[in-house]
Amino acid sequence: MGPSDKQLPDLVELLATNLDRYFPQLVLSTQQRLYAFALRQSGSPQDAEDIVQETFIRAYHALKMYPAERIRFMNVQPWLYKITLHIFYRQSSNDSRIQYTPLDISEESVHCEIEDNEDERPEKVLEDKEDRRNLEALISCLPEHYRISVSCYYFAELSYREIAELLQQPIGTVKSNVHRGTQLLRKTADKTRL
Amino acid sequence: MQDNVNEWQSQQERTSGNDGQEHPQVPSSLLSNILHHLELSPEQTPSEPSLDDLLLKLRSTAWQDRTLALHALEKLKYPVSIDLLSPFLQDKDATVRAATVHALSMISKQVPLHWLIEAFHDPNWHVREVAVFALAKQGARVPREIFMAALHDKDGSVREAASFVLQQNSVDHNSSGLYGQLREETPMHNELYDPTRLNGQSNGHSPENTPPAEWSGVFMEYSGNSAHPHTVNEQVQAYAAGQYTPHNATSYENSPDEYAEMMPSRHEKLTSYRLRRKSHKGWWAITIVLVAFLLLGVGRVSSVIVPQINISIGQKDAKNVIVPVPITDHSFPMKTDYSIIMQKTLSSALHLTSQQLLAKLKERGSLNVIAVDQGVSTSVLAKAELNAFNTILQNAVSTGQISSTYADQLMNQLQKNSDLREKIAITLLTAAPTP
Repeated sequence: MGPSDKQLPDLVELLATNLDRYFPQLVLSTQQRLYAFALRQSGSPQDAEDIVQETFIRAYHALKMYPAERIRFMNVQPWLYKITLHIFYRQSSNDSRIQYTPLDISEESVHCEIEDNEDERPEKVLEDKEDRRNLEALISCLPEHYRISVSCYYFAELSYREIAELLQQPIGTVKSNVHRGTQLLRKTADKTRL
Repeated sequence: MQDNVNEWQSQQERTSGNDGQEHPQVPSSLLSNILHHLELSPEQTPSEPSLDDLLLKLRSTAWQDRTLALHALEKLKYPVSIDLLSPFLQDKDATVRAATVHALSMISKQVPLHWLIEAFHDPNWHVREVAVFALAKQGARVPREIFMAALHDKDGSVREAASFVLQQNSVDHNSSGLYGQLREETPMHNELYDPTRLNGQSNGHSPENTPPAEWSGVFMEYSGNSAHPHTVNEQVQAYAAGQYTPHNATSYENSPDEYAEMMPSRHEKLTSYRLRRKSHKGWWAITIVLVAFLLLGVGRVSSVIVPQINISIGQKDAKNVIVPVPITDHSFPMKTDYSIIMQKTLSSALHLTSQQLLAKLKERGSLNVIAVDQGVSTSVLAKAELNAFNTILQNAVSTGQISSTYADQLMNQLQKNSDLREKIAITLLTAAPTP
């Protein structure tokens, strides 16, 4: 959990009292994570900026419509990811610029073999990576359902339940996608290193 | 505000190096762009715009402008007609639709409920969420069932909004304890659906808190398409099951929920056992009273007296003439035999046994609805009804119960007035002895 997470509950209280005054602070507290999230999804800095900008504008208007009490009890971070994700979905359905080179996830692919290995623990996988940027580039090549789950779980640090809520999927599906996505990522990273 | 921003910015810079992660660099212009779009930049001094300015802004092609204009309209010191805003309920942008719903609820406490209900069924989660808050602002005009249905929305934010509204409502009425149960997403206890409790009757609510008759109007208007659910409870059911689509639902361009629709959703059917069961209680009495009331207002028919069926039915001399049903200045002859004729004719036309027909009638309350259920056109039903009436009236003439002229007059009325036809047919059917 980053420092900004600790500040968010206080900030939410402030937002409930004076949205216009404290909204810029919400942007500053969360823009980094949202931008990284959007960048991982879109793979393009320009698209990521557009997505995050629109996210905050829509978030402001939404907060404007909420009763203050509702804002006080909000879990802002997952809520912002949700808006970001919806904007990304819409843009990717309309915009041919967002292109991916999907990894091979066919049944025969070695990437999809599930190993019951202690070393496949996600933390371990991440520790093994030399360069976070390379990892993020690899993540952006994951198939969408894996990419979003992995990104939300490891980078956005959302819980399985929060991801399930965000994606409107059962928790089991989310866990499976995180697991398989991590596997795929690990195999691809090993292959790249070789 | 600028000082605040600078202070926070430097704080963010100090802390960013401590989380041990290398994040991609956020464009430095991001914040200023956002604030500019929201008209929160220090150089954009807030001033109250004129109505003309706002109307101009409402016509902008940019959704941000339209949204800002809607927010500004709700703050104007002079009243704005809600009709001015209603077209934006169909805006292609979800945030604009949500802002419209919000503005309407801020401007008026008497927003036409069908507008809000339509927003309540919007494909976009945020519009539905704002609609929940807007409906809550309408007070006792909106029954709690609608919020309870929203507890089963596929979107978590909508469910949270419904929980929030119900919690506020519970607090307002000193009925704590309900909220904990309402938070449950998975099957609810039957007692939660106790309609008397939902209407607040068990909590000592005053009668004025009961939703007025206006509700039925809303739903009747909303369910103009016969393929759609008719009653409040049915709509609540359909909504919870994710089946409800307004008959005039707009296909919104670029709806963010287009993807959401592709994802697996947690449509949960509301367990309305208690609601449905309650509707069967005292059905006979309700039907008789309803028939009496409805017929009072039908066309030239100013009064109908329901026959004293309960006196004759089930008695050995049931074939004796029952007290006739007066129709305006006339009476419709009643006899157990005639009830049986009606029962046989209609059950045949509707492809049901007599028992099934009576059971369906108890459940659905309308022959036309049963016809739709059975895939029988209403014209076929009307023809069957008229055939039955014709047979009955001929019988009545042949037995000297009524004159042929009088029978013609009755037949003429029945041909012209479908409501009257249905009501008398139902009266005859319910008067028939159980097969």
